[in-house]
Amino acid sequence: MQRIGSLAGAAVLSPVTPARAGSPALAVLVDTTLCVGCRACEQACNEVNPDLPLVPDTFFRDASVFDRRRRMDADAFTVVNRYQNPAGDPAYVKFQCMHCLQPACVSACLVGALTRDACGAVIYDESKCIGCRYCMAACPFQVPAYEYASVLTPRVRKCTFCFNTRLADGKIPACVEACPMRVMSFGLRDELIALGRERIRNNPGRYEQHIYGEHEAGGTAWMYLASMPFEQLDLPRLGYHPLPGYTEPIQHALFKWFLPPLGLFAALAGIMWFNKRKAKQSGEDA
Amino acid sequence: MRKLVAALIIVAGACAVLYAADPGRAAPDMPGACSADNRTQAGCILLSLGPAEYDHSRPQIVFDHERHVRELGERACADCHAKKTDGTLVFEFPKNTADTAAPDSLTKAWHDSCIGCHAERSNWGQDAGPVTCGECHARDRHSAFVYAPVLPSYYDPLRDTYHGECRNCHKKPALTAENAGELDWKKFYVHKGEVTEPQQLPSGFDYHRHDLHSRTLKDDCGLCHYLSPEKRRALDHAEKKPQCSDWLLEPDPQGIWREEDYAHSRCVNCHFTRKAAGEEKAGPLLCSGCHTHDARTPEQMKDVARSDCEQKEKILITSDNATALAAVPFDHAAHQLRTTSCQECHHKNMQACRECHTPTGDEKGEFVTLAQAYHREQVNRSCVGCHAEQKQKGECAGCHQQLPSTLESKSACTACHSGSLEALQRKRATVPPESLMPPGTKDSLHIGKLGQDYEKVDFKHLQIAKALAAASEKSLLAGHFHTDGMAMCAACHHYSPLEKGKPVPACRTCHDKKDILAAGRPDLLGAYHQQCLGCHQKMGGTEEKMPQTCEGCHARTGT
Repeated sequence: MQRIGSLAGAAVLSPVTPARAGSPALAVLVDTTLCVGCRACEQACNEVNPDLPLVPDTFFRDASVFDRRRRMDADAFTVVNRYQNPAGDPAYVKFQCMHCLQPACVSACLVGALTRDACGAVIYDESKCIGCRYCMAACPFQVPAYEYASVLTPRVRKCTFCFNTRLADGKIPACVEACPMRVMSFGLRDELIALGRERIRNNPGRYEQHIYGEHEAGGTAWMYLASMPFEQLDLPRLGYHPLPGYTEPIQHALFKWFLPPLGLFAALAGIMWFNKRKAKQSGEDA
Repeated sequence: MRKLVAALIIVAGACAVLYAADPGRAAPDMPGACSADNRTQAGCILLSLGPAEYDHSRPQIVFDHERHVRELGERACADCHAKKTDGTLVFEFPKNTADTAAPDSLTKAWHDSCIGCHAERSNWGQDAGPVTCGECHARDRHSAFVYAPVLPSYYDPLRDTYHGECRNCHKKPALTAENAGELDWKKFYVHKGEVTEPQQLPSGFDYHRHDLHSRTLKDDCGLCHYLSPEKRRALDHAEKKPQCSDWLLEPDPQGIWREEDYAHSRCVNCHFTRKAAGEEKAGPLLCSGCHTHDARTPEQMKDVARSDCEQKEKILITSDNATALAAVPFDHAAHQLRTTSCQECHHKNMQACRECHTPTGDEKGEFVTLAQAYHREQVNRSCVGCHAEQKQKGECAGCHQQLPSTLESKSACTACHSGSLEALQRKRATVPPESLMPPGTKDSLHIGKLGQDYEKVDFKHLQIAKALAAASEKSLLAGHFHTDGMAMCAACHHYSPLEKGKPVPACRTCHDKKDILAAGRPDLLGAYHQQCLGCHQKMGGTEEKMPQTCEGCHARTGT
């Protein structure tokens, strides 16, 4: 714990605290214009997560996987897909959990199996999970996958930001370290936003003038730079309002201090009492 | 029972109507018809649905003009386009746009014209187009989302960085959207709906076609070009013949040259009349006749005569401003040989740039100042912009993508502003790259092992330097600007002072071996990969010469 603090300067690790944009959270900036599709990140991810199935080396050097759009599944926390930019050159995009600042999955989780650590990682606790898969429905990026093949102990699976495997030891995420092109930059979120803006400013015409994830869905820890519209790279166009912000006010208002349910029960009890009394009176009259 | 049958029929009918109106379902495409994949082809016209911020419930339509002409024939032109009393057509649609200011009236006029004709034809038992909404407004066929800020006209990427400086005034939406009023920056980020503009295919009116027309029409410039009334009077008075620069491309010198109106009403009508008169070479009438995909390259038009406007071959572009930089020698003839038409630079008329673009900018030049007209990097008709475009080509882009843009490099100004025409005569001395390197530089360098998976790299330093020098020598543009041999070293040995025969700092001086992102710079491993692989990809050579796979440069450990 202490070591992450030193790694990230001001990042403080504490149990779940409400996250706000601009908090000293860890983040990754993905410069998709640099990616060459070598899939070293996929391999590193597979190696660092021992509970993922062992995949032969040759799979990660097989370029035929780019023929179709892949999605993260129970066996892969990150995938690289190939697109085409307007110049006709290939553009590669790495996908993984975006580690939102205000994650919809955490808000949707009934039992608190998903939590967002103040360092920025959205983490999953399989011991609490009841398998309702609300998180999968809630995620705007369609990240969480489910072990449908596991009959007795299925888990929700998604990128961990290497929270337990590497961050806790003061190391940077495995994919970031493995990337030979240094597509990903890891650091404090505010600094990475500054870095992203600097790259856009210093390279006129190279980038879309927007950092994807800076504000999308209230901000994400994984942010993207690209040379073409983000929608064409399967990064959905989302509003800037955090998604839990739409649902939580309703839920919280309904159940604030448990007053509305209490009021309802009180009203029902009142009606019952009134009716009972009426019946009693009419009985007496008769 | 009868009731049940009737109900079933009604349900089936409703299903059929809904199915037909479903935007997701489209009629099978004709080969060569406009579709999402080839909407850039000639004859595909994007019908606008009004202002971009207007909330459109249906997607835009890409209208297949070519197909309509092919199927209906040329005589049907007047069905859609208004015919003037002299028999010429007005190429606007729809014909009766009574009040175009109101979006609803335009919508109605479009719908009446299209659906009316389709319905009429189908009544007569002819092949007719669709009449339900979803068949024309088909979502997946013609359109896709566009995600881009609509930037105000005064926005200049060089000056403003969108997310930095703009938001100093246009506050963040979450903070002050309500009271930001006109300054709400969300307004610049309008959801453009499903708008993907089919690219306007240039008509390709190049030197070749101009030459063809002037020969066929016996140099009668007035058939296509205009003289302003004042000019005509002045010329008549002086009994002079008009010169190139006197002719205008458009009838109204104040009007903005809208190519579609101007070209269509002049070109197509002329082709029509000549064809009606029975001329064999009347000119094309179909969209794809003029808007061809296979544009001629300047090299293919080497022998085509350039228009004779009595222009000078070499010009010294000077400035009235005494404190300005030295004059720019400009080889007009060389540039003519490397363009496809005069309009690549002379975009509105054949006058000199400064006739419209005044030093301070005014209405005549649309407030583009003379300096901007020469230096704007975002438009390809400015000097800097066109040269920047040339640098995107494979053989140049390998190095130039790593270098700062023209205006940001230190030697940029004097490269053009040399002050005398002699600079154009500058002969390059071929410098062998070996002579530039400090004595004792090895031909081949070893880049040590940086990761665990791959062996070290044998980096052929001299061979690469020679290949770059050879590439530079081939190009006239490169030859003019790569004045000394050291220019070819600058892409890899960036940011460091370069002096002939002096050693340069090693990569590891700035690129740390361990810290992945020290001071925003990639580490040594990242720097090598970004530079080598980035250049190989841009130059796009063979795998043997410019490997793009891991094993192409270094062997896997243990193999």
